Amino acid sequence: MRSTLASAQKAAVRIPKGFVFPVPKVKSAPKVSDTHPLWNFFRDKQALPPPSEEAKFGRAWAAEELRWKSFNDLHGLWYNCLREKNLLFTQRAEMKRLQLTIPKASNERVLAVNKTMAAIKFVLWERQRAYTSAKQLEKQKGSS
Amino acid sequence: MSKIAGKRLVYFPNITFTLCRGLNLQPKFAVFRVPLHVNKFDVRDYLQHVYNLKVVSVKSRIYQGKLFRNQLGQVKRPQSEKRVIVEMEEPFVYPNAPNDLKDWQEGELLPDGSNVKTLSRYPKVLEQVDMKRVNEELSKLQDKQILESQQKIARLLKKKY
Repeated sequence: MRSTLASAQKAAVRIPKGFVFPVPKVKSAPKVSDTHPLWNFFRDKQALPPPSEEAKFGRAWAAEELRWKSFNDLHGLWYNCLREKNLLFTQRAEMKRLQLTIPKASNERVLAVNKTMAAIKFVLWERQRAYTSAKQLEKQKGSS
Repeated sequence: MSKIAGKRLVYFPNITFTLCRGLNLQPKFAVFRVPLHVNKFDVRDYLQHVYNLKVVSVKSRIYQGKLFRNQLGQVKRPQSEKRVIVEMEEPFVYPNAPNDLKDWQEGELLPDGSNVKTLSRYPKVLEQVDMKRVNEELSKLQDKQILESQQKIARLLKKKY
């Protein structure tokens, strides 16, 4: 803007009176539907939610709590954690673009999500181990 | 259960997709930053099953990092990065960043609102030229010069008489 105005000042003598620079057409942005799947990458459709709101979050799921859940519940929770993680990383990318310091709350949120995912895998591993050991016992009983 | 394009059946995918701002792309395209080992079929399956997004086509490209020297003078290259351009059926526009970034900035703020850390860096977003304003300024300048020339003529006339 400044450089253009400076060049306009210099060239004001040579430009005839009444001349108007061409103004580019303003293209209207397309309407985005409210149910678009990519809104899952944003919280309340904001590129950067306020940090005060972002700092309010609970703790990660514990393995004790997840042992009562069925496989379908764990599967669904895993996918919710995936979406949450993608959302957080998208926010981080935007912060880096704007050269903002990434707050501690964002790091803590990512840690909580990672802990939940690890707990899910741990619980599933426990069940798998119990299943394989039961199978081995059954084989031993069958053979003896 | 819809068809899966890739060969692997993954129950617990652990891939992070980052939605980036594609400044020069049409609204029906979206850009994602993706780990290097992910292929186009994985991208389509992931977006279809995790986000229920209908993907028309996928294009991918790997961006090589630039060489730099660290403090010891050794030449290093940062990790390569893979970006994926996905074509969608419905358009999507990345929401705008907030205008006032004071809530997100840490440290001391100068009176004009800028942060001390960013003083030594280039401006964040290049200011776009508003041609309407340029035209207004130009007309003002020309009017001003006409007035000045008229005043000069008046002074000369006074001196002669």
